[in-house]
Amino acid sequence: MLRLICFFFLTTLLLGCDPGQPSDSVDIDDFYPSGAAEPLTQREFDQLSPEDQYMVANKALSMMQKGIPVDEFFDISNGIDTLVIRENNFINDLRLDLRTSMSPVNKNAINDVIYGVNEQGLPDDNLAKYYFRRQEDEPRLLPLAQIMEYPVSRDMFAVWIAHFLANTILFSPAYEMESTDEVDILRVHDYLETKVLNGAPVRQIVLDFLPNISRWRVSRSAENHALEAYELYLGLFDTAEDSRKGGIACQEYYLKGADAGYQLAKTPFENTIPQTILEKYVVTSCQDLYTVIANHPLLMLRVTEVIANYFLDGLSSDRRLAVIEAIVNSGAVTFEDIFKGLLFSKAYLLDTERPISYENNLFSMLDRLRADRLGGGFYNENIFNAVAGGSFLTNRQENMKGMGWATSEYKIGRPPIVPMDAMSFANYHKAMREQLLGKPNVWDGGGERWNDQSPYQNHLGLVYEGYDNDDADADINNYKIRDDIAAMNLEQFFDYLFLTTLARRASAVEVADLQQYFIDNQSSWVRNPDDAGIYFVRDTSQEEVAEAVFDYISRLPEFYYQKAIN
Amino acid sequence: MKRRQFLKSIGVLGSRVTIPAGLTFGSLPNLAVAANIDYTSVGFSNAAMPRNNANQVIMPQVINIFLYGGPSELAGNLTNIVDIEDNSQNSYRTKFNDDNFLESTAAGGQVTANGFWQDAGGAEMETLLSNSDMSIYRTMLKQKSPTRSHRESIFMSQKGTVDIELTPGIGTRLATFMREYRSNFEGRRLADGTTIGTLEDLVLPFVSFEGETNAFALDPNNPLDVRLRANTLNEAFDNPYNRNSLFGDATQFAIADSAFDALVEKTQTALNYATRYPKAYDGFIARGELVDEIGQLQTAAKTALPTGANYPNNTFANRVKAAVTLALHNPSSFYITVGDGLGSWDDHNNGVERYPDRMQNVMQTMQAAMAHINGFTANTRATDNIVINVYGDFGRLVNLNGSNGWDHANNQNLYTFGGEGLPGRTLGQVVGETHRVGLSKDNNQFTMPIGIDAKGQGIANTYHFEPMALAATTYRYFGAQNTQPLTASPVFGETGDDPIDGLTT
Repeated sequence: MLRLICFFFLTTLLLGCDPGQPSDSVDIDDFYPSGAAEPLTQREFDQLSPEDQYMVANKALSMMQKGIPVDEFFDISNGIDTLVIRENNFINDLRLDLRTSMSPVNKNAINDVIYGVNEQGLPDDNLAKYYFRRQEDEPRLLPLAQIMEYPVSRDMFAVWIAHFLANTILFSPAYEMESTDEVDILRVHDYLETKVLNGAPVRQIVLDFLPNISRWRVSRSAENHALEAYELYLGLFDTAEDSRKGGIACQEYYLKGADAGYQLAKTPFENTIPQTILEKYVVTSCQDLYTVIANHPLLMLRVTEVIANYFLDGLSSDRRLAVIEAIVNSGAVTFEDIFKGLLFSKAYLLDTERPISYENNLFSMLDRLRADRLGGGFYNENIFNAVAGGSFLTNRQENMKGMGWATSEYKIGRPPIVPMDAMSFANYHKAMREQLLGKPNVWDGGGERWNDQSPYQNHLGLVYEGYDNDDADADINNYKIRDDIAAMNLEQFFDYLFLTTLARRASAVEVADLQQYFIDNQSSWVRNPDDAGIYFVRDTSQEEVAEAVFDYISRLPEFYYQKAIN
Repeated sequence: MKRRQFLKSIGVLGSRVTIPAGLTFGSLPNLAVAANIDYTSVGFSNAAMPRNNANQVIMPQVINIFLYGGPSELAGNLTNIVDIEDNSQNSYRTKFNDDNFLESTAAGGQVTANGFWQDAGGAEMETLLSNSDMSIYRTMLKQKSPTRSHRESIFMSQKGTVDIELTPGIGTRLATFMREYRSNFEGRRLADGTTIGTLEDLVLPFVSFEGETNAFALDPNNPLDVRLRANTLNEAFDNPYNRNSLFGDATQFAIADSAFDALVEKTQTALNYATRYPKAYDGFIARGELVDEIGQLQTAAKTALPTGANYPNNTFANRVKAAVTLALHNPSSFYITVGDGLGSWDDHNNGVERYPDRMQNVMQTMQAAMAHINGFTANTRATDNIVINVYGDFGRLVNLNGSNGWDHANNQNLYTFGGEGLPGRTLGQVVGETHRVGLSKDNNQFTMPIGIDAKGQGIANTYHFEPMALAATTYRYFGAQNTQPLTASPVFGETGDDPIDGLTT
């Protein structure tokens, strides 16, 4: 009852605080764990320094492959020396957004843009914003497009949760296996997204997933189906005898071979002899086994543990365990509960310092850089192929596959600790440096595009006000420097770039050395109008200066980390 | 203590329905932190190290090929096939559509002279065996922790201990051992006659061709200099380590490159990058070191191969070829890991269709690798210091299940190749005898060393060893006198292992 009252109170409060929030309805309760998983409150957030608030905001958003630009978080119309926070209710608003459903009309409209739909309502590749190129790539690339295009909302949250879970050992469709195919990716993702949107409890989702053909295509035999159920959902790894008995309970099921399309088949020979598993549970049928797994006391701990290991890499094992137990003991029921418990926890937002994946870093940075998703280089209509490493652009290594974190690929899911071995990291660094930061057309806001239907026309960029292909002088000067950027001196411009990418200002040493570099080597890019030692960027050279500063920033280890405050 | 007993002893399993506060399965990693490894009690002796033609001690090189998923042992062990056929739920003769399946090759069947599976690489194995390029051990058995879990089995094999949580891998233990005994290594000759300067100046001493691997998991209790950690390469020796110019010409870029790197040096000291962001920090150091090395390897990879080095055309073979190329051209690559490439060996289903061809691919690759090594003459370097080991997570059940595959088991084969220059290493051997155990027509049928029953009880009257013994063997090649401290499992109260008989002194 208390939780219900809190819900109404908070809902009213939040809606009252931000009447301008998009549409449509508030669907479900929120989740506030206690103890070691205690969430960061708005008040605590407000007490952080402006830079730290911006860092924390992007830490929360980047986990969901989102970001917020400096000029959206701060009001920089009067400069950047004193940071004025534009958004003063970030935490509460984010919570509200994640509870707020998109209207079906909005959702359909966005998907129409992604897919391309003609006037007759039929798919038309020529009108599609993104190309998936190969049909088999679509199931694993589409969620990335939806996460990017949907506004922060419950619908986006559900897609992201499904994407996250489909990349863990819990629900991976294991595309690397011969017995699986792209339909399994589609099936698993759709199943998870639908269940999450319906508010299904974790236990129900596991119960209903165990008989799914996509689970069987990974486990492939009755005994291994039981063994993997114990491992995946209960965290029990020494179950030879229990697996044998579980296999007996499921003995009528088998997976057909390649020629038969790896279909799940059944014989009439159901087991009739009760089997005792896990020392106390008696099962006779496969459904009995599923029921034991789904209702087992270890299930919620195990599931939370798997998810937490991705969020909290870098925290001590003791802290991690305490957070996991706090979330479970606080009554988490759904995946939304678990993810919100982790996402808003102080343990994650303030205390965790860990490598951020290319996927999270890149997509968040695209938002923070005000990027044109169709701007050029890797990041064009094929952006998701380029990022995920689909069947297109296969000669490239600078993608999730080349970084050991491929999408919906591995049987055991992505490793919770982002791979940072020499080659994975080299690919990561190269992708961020040479395909994002080194491609001004992606982020400067001045890229001219052949497509006069581009959604990025008049899209505010990091430097320019956007471009306009309808401009009569389109080939000459169809874009101009943003007023707030033009007003910055060189040091302020450095701060703007550093805040955008690192959530901190440039240090005194960095300002001095970078300024000297430009004076000595790129003097045509800077000017010193009054000889008073205060340098400015020469008109229209902001793009070049930014590119050079980004080259430096790309070499900083912190650029590849989510940072802690404490 | 077995893992399950361990779980029970701390109350995780048993009859409890509710989980005691503060103690869940998730807490196991915390409890299972191994005690510090006592390197001082290992000791050093060069008696087991290889020697060159001038009888000078040189450094060994080991390539560890891990077949993820755990391949069936049947390719290398059909000695029990008649008994297996009699008791399997599904008939091998029927499923493989070969009435003579159980017969010897002389009689038109699949069983070779040494009990290999003819069409599953058996023909190649016979050649490798008769050429003394290979030995096979049929009884690598986990008794200290007889788990059938992939995770635990992989970790155990790649870390060389039962203490698998937050503990270092074999490569890291080896590197740390070398560091602790550096005076025994610095000044030591490599296979090409050159000598080691300081350990930290070695070129690519530890390399993975499989991305991150537990074989190089770091020791949280004993940090290792980044230059003694593993680097990752791929089979094409791709070079993502270079930086292209983002703006300006080559001269302008060189100036910017230098200026920005100098500023990074200042910043990383001021902001304590090495401690706060160690993985990216180390990644940049590796990048700087590898950017030039890769070019030389790309050139080496284009060298014509010796006669007989006919690698199949698949990812697995390409990786093995790259690993051998690296070992031959860079004798300071001491421990190299290779994995994957032929798809998972987790053949719960469809093994009938997929297994024989892939095992044949493995053995054809090994034939090519041995021809590559034995035929290499450049720099007059020794090549009999290179050892290649092939094995996986575990063996599989021998009952053909309803999905035409084999589920997880325990006992497995170790295929070991080359390295005939290592003292005490004898090739051309078939070691270990097995028998089938388990109830007839039950899925849970598997092989065990003769004398040991289905429950792991009894006294074996054939040689067998733990996977940790393979780690011990590797350490011994590099001079570890007492391998027990390196393979012990204090959390589980298990002592360490000695090297495998017949593979070292």
